[in-house]
Amino acid sequence: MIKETNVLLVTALFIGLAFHGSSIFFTLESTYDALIHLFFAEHYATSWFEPWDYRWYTGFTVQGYPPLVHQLIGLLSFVGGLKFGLFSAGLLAILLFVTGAYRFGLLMTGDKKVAGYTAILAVFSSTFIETLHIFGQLPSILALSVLMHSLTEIYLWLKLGRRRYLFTSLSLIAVMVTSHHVTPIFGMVFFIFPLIGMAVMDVSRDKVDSYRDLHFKVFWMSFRQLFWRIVSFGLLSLVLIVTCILPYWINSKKNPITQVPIPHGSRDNFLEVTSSGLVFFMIPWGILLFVIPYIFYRFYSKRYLFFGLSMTMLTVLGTGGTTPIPLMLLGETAFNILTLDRFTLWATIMALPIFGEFAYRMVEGDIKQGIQRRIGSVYHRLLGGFLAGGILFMVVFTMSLGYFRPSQPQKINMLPIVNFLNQDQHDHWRYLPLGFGDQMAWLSAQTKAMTVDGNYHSARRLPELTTRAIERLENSKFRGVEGIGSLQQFLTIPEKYNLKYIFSNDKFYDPLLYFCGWQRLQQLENGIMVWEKLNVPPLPAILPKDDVPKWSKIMWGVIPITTVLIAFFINIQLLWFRVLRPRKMPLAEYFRYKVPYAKFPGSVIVVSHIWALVVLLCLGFGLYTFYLNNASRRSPENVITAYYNALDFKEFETAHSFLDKENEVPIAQYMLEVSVTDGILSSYAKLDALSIEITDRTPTGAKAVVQTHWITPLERIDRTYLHDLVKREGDWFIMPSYLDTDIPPDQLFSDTATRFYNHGRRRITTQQTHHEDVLKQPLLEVLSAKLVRYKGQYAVIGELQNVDNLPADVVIKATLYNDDNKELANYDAKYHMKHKLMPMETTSFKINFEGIAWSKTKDTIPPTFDPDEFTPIELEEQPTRFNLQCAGNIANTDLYKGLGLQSLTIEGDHVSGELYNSGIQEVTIPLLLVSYYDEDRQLVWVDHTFVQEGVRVQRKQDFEYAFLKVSGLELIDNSLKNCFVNGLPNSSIAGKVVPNRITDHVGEQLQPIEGDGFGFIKFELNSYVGNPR
Amino acid sequence: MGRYLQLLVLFFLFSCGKEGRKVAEAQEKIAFRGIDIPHKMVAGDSLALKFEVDGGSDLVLLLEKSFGPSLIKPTFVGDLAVFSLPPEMLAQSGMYHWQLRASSQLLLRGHFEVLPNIETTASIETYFGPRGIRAGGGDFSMLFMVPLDAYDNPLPDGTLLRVHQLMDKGLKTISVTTKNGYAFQNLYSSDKAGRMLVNAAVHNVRSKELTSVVSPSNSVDFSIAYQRVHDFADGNQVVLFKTSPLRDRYGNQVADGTLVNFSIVDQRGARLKTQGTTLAGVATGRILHPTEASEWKVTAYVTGESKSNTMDLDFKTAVGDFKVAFSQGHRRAEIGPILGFMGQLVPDGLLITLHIRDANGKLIDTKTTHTYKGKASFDLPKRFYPGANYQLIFDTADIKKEFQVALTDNGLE
Repeated sequence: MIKETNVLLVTALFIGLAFHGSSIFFTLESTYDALIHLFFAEHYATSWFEPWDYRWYTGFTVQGYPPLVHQLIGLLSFVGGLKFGLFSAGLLAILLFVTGAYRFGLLMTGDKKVAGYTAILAVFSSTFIETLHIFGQLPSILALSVLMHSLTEIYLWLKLGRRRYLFTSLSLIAVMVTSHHVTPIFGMVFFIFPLIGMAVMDVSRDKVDSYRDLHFKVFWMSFRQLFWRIVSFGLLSLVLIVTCILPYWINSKKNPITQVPIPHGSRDNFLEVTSSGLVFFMIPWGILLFVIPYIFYRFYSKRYLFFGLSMTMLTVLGTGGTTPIPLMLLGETAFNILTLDRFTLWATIMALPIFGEFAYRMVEGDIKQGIQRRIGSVYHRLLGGFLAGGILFMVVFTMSLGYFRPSQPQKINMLPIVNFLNQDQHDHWRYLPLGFGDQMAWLSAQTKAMTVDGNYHSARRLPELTTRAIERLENSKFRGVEGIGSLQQFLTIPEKYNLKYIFSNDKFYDPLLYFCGWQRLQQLENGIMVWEKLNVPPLPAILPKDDVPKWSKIMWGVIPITTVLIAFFINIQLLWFRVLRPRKMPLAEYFRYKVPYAKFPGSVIVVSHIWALVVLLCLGFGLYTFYLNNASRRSPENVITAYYNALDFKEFETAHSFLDKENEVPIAQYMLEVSVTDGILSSYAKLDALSIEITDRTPTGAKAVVQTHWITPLERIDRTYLHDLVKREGDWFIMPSYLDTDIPPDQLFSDTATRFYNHGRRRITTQQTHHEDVLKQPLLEVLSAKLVRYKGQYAVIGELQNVDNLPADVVIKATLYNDDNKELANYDAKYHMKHKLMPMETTSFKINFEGIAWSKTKDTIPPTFDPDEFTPIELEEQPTRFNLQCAGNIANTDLYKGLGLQSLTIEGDHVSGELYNSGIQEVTIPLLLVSYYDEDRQLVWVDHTFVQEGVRVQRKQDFEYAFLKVSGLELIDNSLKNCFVNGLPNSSIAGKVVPNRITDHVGEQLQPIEGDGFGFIKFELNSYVGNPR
Repeated sequence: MGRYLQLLVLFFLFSCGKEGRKVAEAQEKIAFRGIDIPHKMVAGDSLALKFEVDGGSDLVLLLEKSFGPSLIKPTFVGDLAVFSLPPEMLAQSGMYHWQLRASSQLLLRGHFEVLPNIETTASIETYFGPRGIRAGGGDFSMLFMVPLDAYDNPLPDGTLLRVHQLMDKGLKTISVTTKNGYAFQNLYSSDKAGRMLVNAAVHNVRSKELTSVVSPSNSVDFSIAYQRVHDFADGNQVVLFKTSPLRDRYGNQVADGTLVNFSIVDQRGARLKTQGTTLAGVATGRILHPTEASEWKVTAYVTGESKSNTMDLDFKTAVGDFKVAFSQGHRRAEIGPILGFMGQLVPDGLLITLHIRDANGKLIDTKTTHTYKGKASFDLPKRFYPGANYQLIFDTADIKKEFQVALTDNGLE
C-alpha cells in the first residue's frame, strides 16, 4: 500500500502557518494575555528555579500558573530574544492545533477526507482566531491542541488495551497539565468522558450487528469489560495531574485566591450587554450558528451520544449570564471565578469534526446530492457560496476587530522608561504605570524595577487589591469609582509601598495625582509623563518573600520540560521509526466505525433551513433595534442621550448636529466655544449615567431636566442641566444655550513671579548623593491640630504653615492612639490640603482614616458602586490621641497662586461667588478648601469642593457651595504636643522660627457667617494646572 | 549492624585520644620570653614582635584590633620567633591586643597602641549644616570637622584647627581644638541676609569651601497701594494691589516667593481675596473690578508675621439706566443699549438676570444672559409661557427694572 499524503491536511497546515503565522506578528502583542506570558517567560529565563518574583504585587510566586509554555518561551528566548520565543511558541501552537484538529476529526469520523476538511475549517474557525489573535491565550491553545492529540491515543488504549497507547496518552496528558491547569480538569469531564463513552459504544457495536440492536445491557457489559482500562487510565492521569504541577496545587492550597470576583464579560447577559454577546458568543460560534441543527443531529446519534451530552452542557455553560442555568450548574463560587468563554471555545472545537463532516457532505457528499435533487444545483451553489462567504466574513471580521476596536492603547516604546528606571537609582523605588493596558507586562519584563500593580490577579497578596474587583490599578478608570478608589489608596499613602514614580500614559489620572500630592518630573521622549512623589523612602535591601522547599523548586523547574521530552520521544520518535521503516500498517481501529455518507435525511435539511431562517430573523431584529435606539432625533430623550454621548466622546461635530438649526451657532463658532472650556468635567470626566426628565412637553417643544453622573478621577460628580427642545419637521433638536460673552480687558499683559530650580545632584556620580547636594528640608509649623469625630468618622484637622523661606512640598501623616498608646490607624492627607506651599503660606488640612474597602464584609459587596468611595476605617478601640508627622521637601513645581476670590454672596446655607484667574496659567481644576471655625475663631472642620469648570486666564468662573451642619461635631483631642515636623518636635520650630507670632492674623481674615455649629469660614484655593507653560 | 556500630565506636575513641595527647605534649615543653615588645607606635610603621621560644613549633600570634582578629605565623631566626606586622596591618590607630599561642594554649598576652601619624596629616572631613539659616544671629549652622592623617585616622585630641568664615564681606578666623577625634563650631548668622562661606584648616591641610545661605528673618509691617484705570465698577478692568518692599527687622528684603494675602472686605461684609508672591520684596495681587458700586477695605497679610495698613477703595456704578423694549406680543424683551460711565456701550459679558413671576408673584423661572455689543434679549416662547399676566424683573449691575406684562398667544412660537 502506498501511503498517500493527505492533500487537505497539508493544505490546512500550509494555509494555517502562512495565514496565522504571519499575522501573529501584528496581533499577538496587542492581545490581552500574550505579554503576561512573556513576562512569566522572562522570569524563567533569568531565574529558572526561583519561583518568587518581586516585580509584581510587592512579590508573588510564579507557581500560580503552570509553567511549561512560559519555560518554553524562556528557553527559546536564549536563541533569539523573548519576542522570538513568543512567536515561536505561537507558531508551535498553530501547528499543533491544526494537526490536533485533523487527528480529532479522524478519530471521530474515521474518514481522512472529513478529517482534512476538519483541519481546514479549524484554520478558519473564528473561535481559534479569537483565542489566538484577540485573547492571546497561548497556554490554553497549546493544552487544547495536545488534548486533541491525546484523544486518539486514549481511545486506542481503551479499545485495544495495548500498553503502548497508555504510555502515549499519559505522556500527552502530562504535557497538557504542565501547560495549562484548567484544560485537563475540564477536558477530562467534557472531552475524555464522552470519549470513554464512545469507546465503550464502539466495543458494544462490535458485539451486535447494528446500532439498532445496541441496548443498554450490551453497553453495560462492554463497560464492565473495559472497566479496568478506564480506571487505570483515570487513576494514572489523576496522579499525573497532581504530581506534574504539585507545587501549583500546594500553592493554591496555601494561598487560596482571596480575590473578590472581577467582572468578566463572559458572565454577562448577552442580550443585555450586546458587546459581550458579540465577543463571547457570536464570534466564537460564527458560522457554526447556522449548522447547529446538523451538529446536534449528528451528536445525538448513538455513537456520539456522550459527546452530544457534553456538547449540550458546554453550549449552555457558554451562554454566561444570559440564562440562569450556568449559575445553577456551576454554583456561585465557580461561576464567579471561571471565565465562561472557555466553555464556548471547547464547544466550538468539539463541533469542528462534525462541521468538517458537514462541509464534506455539502461539498461532495450526500447533502449536495440531496439539495440538488430537491431544490436544484444553482441553489446548492448559492448556499455553498453563502456558507463560504459567511466563513470568510467571520475570519475578516474577527481579525479586524483588534484594528477597529483596539483593546489596547497605542504601542508604547518602552526604551525611554527602561532607561529612566535604570538611571540614577530610580529602581530603588517602586513604580506604577497608568494607562498602559496589558503592555505593562512588557515593561515589567524589561526591567528589574518593581511595581505594586501586576497583571495576573490570582497572584495578588495586598488586601488593597484583593478586596477590589479591579483588573489592574493601571486601568482603574474602567472600573468606575471602585477602581479609582483603590488607586487613590495607593496614591495617598505611597510611602507604605515605596512607590515613588508613576508613568502616566493617560491624562485622565493627572488631576488625581496632583491633588494627592504628586508632581510632574519630566516627559519622556515617548510622550509618557513621569510623576514623582517626594518623601518616599527607598525599598529596603532585603524584601520579604514566601519561600518554598527546594524540592518544590526543582520539581517546578525540571518536570515540565521533561514531560515534553518524554512525550516527544514516545510519540514522535516512534512515529519516525514507523515512517522510515515502512511496514504495512493495519488501519487504525477507529477507521472501522466510519459511517457511509449516503441518503441524508431530508427532514434535517428542512429543519436546518428553518433554523437558519430563525437565526437570520434574530440578527435582523437585533440590527433593527440597534437602529431604533440610535435614531437620535426620534424623541426628546433620544436627542439628549445622543447629544451627551457625542459630548462624552468629544465628537463635537455630531453634538453640533443636534442643535436647533434656526438658532444655530455655526459649527466653527461652536467648536471654538467648546474647545476653550477646560475643567474636570470637560477634560477628565466619563459620563456614567444619564437620566432625563421631560417637563412642559407640548407638541412642538419640551423642557428637559438632565441629571448627569460623571466619573472623574477625583470623585463622582452629579450635575443637572436644563435644556429647551424644539420639534421641527418631526425631528427634535436642542436649543443652544447661551455662552458667556465676557471678554478680558487686556489682550496682552505681563506677569512676574519667582521660579525655582533644583539641580538634584550637582556632582555626577554613581555614589550616593553627596551630602552637600542633599537639600535642606523646609521648616513647617503646625498652627493647630485636633482629633475630631464627625458623623461617626474620625479625622485629624488642623492648620499648617510653611515658615521657611523656600517653597515646600508637604506630606502629613496622622496616627491615632488610644489611652494605652496603642496604635489604631494611620493615614495621610489627601485632597484636604494644599500640598505645595510658598514661603509663609498656610493651609488647612484634614486627614480621613480610610480603611481597605470591604475587607471585613466580603460577602456584602454592593452590586452597584456607592458614589462615595470612602470607606471609613473600622477601629477596634476609641482613639483618644493622635500623632502628626509633617515632612517638608523643597518644591519647585506646581506653585501657581494666581486664583482670587470675588463677588462673594452668602445666602442662608450656601455661598456663591467667582474665582478670578489673575495669572498667566490656565487653571484646569480649581479646588476650594473650606475651613469652618467656631465663634472663638477655632478650627472645627475642613471640607472641600472641586469647581467643575476651569478658570481661563484673566477670566472668572462662578461656583456655589452649600455649608455643612457641623453642630454635631465632637472634639476628642486638641493638642500640639505630638506634632512633629521633619522629625523634630513642632514646639522647637515654632519657638525658633516665628517667635513673635501674631496669632490674630488667621482670625482676621475669616469670613463671619452665622452657620449651624460655626461662626466663621475660610476659603483657600488650590489650582491644578493641566498644561503648565 | 552490630559490627558496624563497634567499628564506629572504635573510630571515635581513636580520634579523640589522638587529639588529647597532642595538647598534653605541647603544654609541657614550651619555654618562652618576649624581647623588645613596644607599647606605642605611629600608624604607618612596621613592627616585629620577637620571642625566644624553646620547643613550640606551632606558634601563632593572635592580633585583635577594631577590624577583627588576625592570626600571624612566625618566622624563625635561630630560636627566635619573629612575628612581622607589615605597615598595612597597623595603619589604623587605636589599641591592639595580642596573644602568643601554641595551639589552644595561651602563652603570653600584651597590647600596644598605634597613634595617628600627625606628620602625614592629609585631609579634614567636614560637614556643614543646615545649609540655610535665618538672619538675626539667633540661628546657626554647625561646622563639624574631623582632621585625618594619611591613614584616615583622626588626629589626637587637642589638635588645633582654624575655621575661616566669610560673611558680610568680613573674614573671621576661629580656632578650635579637637576632642574625641572631632571638633565642631556653631557659626551664627549675621543680621544681613547673604551667604556664609567657611573652610577649616589644620597644619597645612585645608578643607574645601562650604556654604550656608543666610536668608532674611521675619517680615515686619508694611504698606500697600493700588493701581486702577478708573473707579467705575464695570466688572471688567483689573485693579492691582502692590505692597511696599517687604523687609525683616534688619532691613533685608524678604525671600522671593513669600506669600502675601490681600484680604478685601466689601460693603456687604464679604471677604474677597487675592494673593501674590514677593519678588524683590514687592508682592502684587490682582482682582477684577466689582460689577456694582462698592466700598472695599483692603489689608494685606503675611500670616503670623506682619500686615499692612488698611486701605479704602471705592467704586462707582458703571452702568446708567437701561431700556427694555418688548416686541412680538411681549414675547421678546430687548434690553439696551446699556451705556457705561462715559456713554460707551458696556463691555461684552455684563450679566443680566431675568426673574419671571406669575400674576401671584410666584417665581416661575430665572434666566440669565450676557450683554453683547451693549445689548441682550430674552425670548419667552409660548411653549413654556402660555398667554397670561407675568411679572418680569430685569437685574444688571444691581439696577432692577420691573414690568407687568400680558403675554399673548400670537408671537414667538
